[in-house]
Amino acid sequence: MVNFRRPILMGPNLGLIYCLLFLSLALSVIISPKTVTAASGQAFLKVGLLQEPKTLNPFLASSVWEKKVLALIYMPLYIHDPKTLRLIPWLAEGPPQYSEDQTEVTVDLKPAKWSDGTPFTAEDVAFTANVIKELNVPRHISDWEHVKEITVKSPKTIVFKLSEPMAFFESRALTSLIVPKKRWEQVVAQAKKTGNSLNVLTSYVNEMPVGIGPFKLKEWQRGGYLVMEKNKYFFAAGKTVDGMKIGPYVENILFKIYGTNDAAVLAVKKGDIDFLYSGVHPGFLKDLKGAPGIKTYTNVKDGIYYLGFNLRKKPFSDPAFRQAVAYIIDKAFLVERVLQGYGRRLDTIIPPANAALFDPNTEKYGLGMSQPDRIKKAVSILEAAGYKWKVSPLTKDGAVQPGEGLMLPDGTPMESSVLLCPPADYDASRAMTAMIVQEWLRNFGIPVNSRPVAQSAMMQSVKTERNFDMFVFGWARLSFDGAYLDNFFNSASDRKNGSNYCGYRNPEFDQLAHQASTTINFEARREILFQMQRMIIRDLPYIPLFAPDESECVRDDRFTGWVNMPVGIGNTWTFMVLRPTK
Amino acid sequence: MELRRYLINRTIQIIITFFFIMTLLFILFRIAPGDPSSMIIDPHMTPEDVALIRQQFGLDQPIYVQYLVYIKNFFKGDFGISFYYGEPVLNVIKSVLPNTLLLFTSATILSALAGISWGKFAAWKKGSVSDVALTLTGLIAHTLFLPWFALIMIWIFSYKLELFPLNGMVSPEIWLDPECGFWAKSLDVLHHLFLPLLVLFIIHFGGFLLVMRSSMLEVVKEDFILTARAKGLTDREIRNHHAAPNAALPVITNVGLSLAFSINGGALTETVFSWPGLGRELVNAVSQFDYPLAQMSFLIISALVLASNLVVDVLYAYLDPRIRY
Repeated sequence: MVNFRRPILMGPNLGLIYCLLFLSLALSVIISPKTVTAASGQAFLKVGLLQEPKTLNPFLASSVWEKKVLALIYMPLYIHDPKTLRLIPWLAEGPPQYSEDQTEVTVDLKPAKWSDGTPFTAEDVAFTANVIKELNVPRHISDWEHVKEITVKSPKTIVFKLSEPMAFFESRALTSLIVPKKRWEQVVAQAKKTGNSLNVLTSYVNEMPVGIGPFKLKEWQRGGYLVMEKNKYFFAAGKTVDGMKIGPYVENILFKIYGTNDAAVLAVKKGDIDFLYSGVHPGFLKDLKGAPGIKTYTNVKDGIYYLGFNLRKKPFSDPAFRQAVAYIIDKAFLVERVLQGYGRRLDTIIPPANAALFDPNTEKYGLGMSQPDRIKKAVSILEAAGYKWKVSPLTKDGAVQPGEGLMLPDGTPMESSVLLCPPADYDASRAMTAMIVQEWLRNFGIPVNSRPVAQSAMMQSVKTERNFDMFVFGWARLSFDGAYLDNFFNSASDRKNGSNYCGYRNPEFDQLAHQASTTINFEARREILFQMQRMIIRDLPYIPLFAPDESECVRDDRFTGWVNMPVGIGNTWTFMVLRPTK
Repeated sequence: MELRRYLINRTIQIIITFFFIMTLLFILFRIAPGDPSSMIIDPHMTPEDVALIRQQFGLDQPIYVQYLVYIKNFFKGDFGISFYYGEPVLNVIKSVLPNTLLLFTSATILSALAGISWGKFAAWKKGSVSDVALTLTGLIAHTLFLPWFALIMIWIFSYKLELFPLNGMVSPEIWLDPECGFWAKSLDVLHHLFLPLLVLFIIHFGGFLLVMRSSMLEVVKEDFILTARAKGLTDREIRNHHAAPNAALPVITNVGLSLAFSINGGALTETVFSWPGLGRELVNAVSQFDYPLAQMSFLIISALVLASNLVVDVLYAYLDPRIRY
């Protein structure tokens, strides 16, 4: 027999370890307070986030989670009205005043103080814009690209000189968050001394931000929670907007982090949080609607889902082919099956949530038509354009049958194509949509395979390499000014990493886009944006599919005054007017 | 003397392997489709923005220049700035590593202790009701789908019975209360720890149990066990002092590697329990193309696995005098 030394894991008395463990458990369960009353008896609004903000440096922040928190700390000159979504003066005293040639914009500022009590001046605005311009801060620089010069006329007046009249200057540059010069000038000065000033600026850990919003940061326990407290210097306190008297009336906000939607919904039901600052999956709604103390809100999301084509390739470059596909797709079915009814069909590229710019009168392919009628229409369009089939989707007596082997007008059979989509664990709606569309197209004789790929791989193919056939994509949180239409479809954006993924080139559209961007008058601009939408729906580089709903849930037994904007209650206004019920 | 030579040789091998891993990691991250700019889906993003982001992170440089900078900085102790956090990667890792160690390393140690102990017992009572019950439980537990099981546990113990918190590592209500001191906060962490620890324990103990059981079953057939019986030793003595230490050798390798890998946590467990650990950071870093953070996290894990292999090898020589290097 070999005399072994005994390994530590073979210790004789595991009982002791188990006893200690269960003792600790018992202690922790007994002693841990079950109450959810907050520290010092102050009223806390408890908000659930699905991800922790990564940074509070506004020059680095990119995700929606950072922006949700930063929007309560920093404020812009103009803000969207909660009802109309039109821009209204916020830190600005009144509407921007344009010079006769509309290239000089003067903005007067409201008297306001930063959260450290120092006054807010035009120097802060100029400083913020100059930092972005001088250091080429990505994601912000394009907002300010048309600003040639910034002049501080007085502590309360600032003048922007533009390279040309720019309609989107208001909705982009003037809605940017402003940072205090006093706090950031040292950081910027140090950054400029180094060889990599941008990295130094973005790697600045903005631990205790000095802001101008309704709340300021009180404590951030990384990985745990984030607490904000009321900013006693908040400039808008007591003012009235759209009949709402601005507070804030909540002393503190406690942001808690939940890894999954399931856990966060349970937290709302249990009363651990008062509001989940994110959409709730439709599957939970039925359960939540009957729960005591809970109220749900459902609005159309400010986003769109669409099928995109690569217009650089045949047959996708043929408008007849795209129109036929538009007829084949049953959008109502997608809304019912993919979104479980929580959404609506979409026939334009501006979401219905943006009521001011949403054009309800674009062409609606296949609306109200039965499936055989849609197929017949699609066949007639393609036949008129010279397409043929090995087996037509229509029998000789006009009945619908599975088609096979679509042949292009030049007589060659259509090659197998790929419909890219993200995997179901990233976006189940898009993955499911791609699969359904694949079946419809195959039944029509169009050889296509839906291929779920990682989001990064998809973006590489679509955005960088332009090596794709079709893709299902979605945009969320689209700006209310419609400026993105230019970016999506302008010929100038049809280049590597440009947003014109489809390769749509139409000089008439380019001209309209330029006209829209230089038309300051809102009504006139809206008319141009309507024309642009109709042009896109006529040419169909995108086939808009649906606009999903966004459902949110709150504890209305603890707080009241949720501001239900057209895009939902998760907005800055809610935090400014919400009141405890008791 | 031989052991010393062995250690020197192994250390050199480890350094070469580590350098190879460093290079491999660099290549793997670069050949994956996309880069940090491809994950920013912004309708207003222009090609110029993309170029600025690539320039900011040094991705506009030729690949060999990026590699040389990476190697040079590594040996200078500069592990880079996280693209996503804008902070040094070591700061990011340091902020989450203790949380991972607390949950995953504790879970590995506890499940190893229990698995070995119960595996030993099950093998000794082969064919008995206890053996069948333990083996079956171990098998079922080992095959449970973790996210589903974790959610069920949360639903029962946290939501329905309200015994544990729903998620996270601390209760802000306690940590923000000036009247709550060190002990209250420690208990609060323990309170949050228990359920994820229990879930991980249940999932993992089965693996150790099954390995230990099958190893024990081999050992009990050996002649020295018969000799021990002939000497008149008690069952308990034979099991604990003669059979189990022999059978533990393959389990030691298992435990060593599990401990090393426990540092990467588990993205699924951390997500379901909202536990702020390294696993979730690692997955985020990979999916967001945060090269510096992902590379450094993997390098730490690689270094630990290499080191634990060495430790296990040395431990073998210590535990089993027959093994000579």
